[in-house]
Amino acid sequence: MAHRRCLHSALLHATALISLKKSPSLSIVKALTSKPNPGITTSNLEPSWFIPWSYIRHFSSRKSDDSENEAEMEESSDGEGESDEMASDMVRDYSPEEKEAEAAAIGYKVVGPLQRSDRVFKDYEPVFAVVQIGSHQFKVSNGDSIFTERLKFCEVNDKLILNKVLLLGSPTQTIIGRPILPDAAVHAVVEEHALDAKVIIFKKKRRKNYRRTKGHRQELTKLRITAIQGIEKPEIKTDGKPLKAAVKKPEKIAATA
Amino acid sequence: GDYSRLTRTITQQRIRALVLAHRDRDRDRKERDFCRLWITRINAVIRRVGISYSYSKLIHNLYKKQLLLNRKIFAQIAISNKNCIYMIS
Repeated sequence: MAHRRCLHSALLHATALISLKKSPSLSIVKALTSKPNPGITTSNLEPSWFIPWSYIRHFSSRKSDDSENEAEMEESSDGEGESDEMASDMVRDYSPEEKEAEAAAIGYKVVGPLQRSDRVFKDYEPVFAVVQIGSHQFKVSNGDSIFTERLKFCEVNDKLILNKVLLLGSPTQTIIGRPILPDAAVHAVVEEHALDAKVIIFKKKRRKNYRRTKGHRQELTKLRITAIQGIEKPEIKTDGKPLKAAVKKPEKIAATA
Repeated sequence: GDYSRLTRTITQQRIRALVLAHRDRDRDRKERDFCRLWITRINAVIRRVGISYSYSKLIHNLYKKQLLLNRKIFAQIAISNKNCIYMIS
């Protein structure tokens, strides 16, 4: 029963896509036959629940990635049916590495590995960078914490590398990017995923008996900036905090040497 | 006065407070307010660079040189490190 429904919906979408399709993509389909096969075996677990979702998913996938998803869709038309639809849905939900990389580039960050043993938090250096994260720009320096929109695909204690650096500045030097600086990188660590304070949205039209109350909490991510690369840092001798200084000085010397 | 003592006025004022908070906070109000703030600040700093150098000319140059991405967060930099601003302009 469920299989029939899946096939039916698959055929509907497939016919729509075939009309848009051009011939060279068929070769891509054949090349990619091997790829979603591992996905199929895992996705057969939950066929029925994914059917209504598949409608929405396919429309969005059409806009985002042409070759990958549409190739998978075409495969479904060839006769593998429900399982390939499920594969594209699973791909969207659990995002394999390629998807993560793309979405990360759009929202603009690169996820590095988790870390436990490294101590990355250095003292304050007077260097700052202007960094863009998903249409917000921040003037950032070592040891700052920043609230950004909730970033997908990162968990707490993840290292991030922010690529879009627009400006690097220090007391002695400024480097201006047009528009981006290619060799600059800003390292950050995800501190927490948090909700904003509650905001009450209250709408009222007077004398018309209309009143609506709604609460909203925005999802945020807190990032802590650990390092800025791409500019020469002026050396400064730190006198305060003898414990940390004793540890950090050999690190600094190693970094500058 | 009565705003804190009489129940009827209290409820009215509470509703009013919510509405006004909503109106000031949402619907791009914040964006507009901050935009204006930053523009006036940038303008103030830029006019000191030289005679007949103004905010409008600065923005024009920025778009020309493909510095598309320095927004009015620019104003923050202008306050803290002025040398950078002079370099950019």
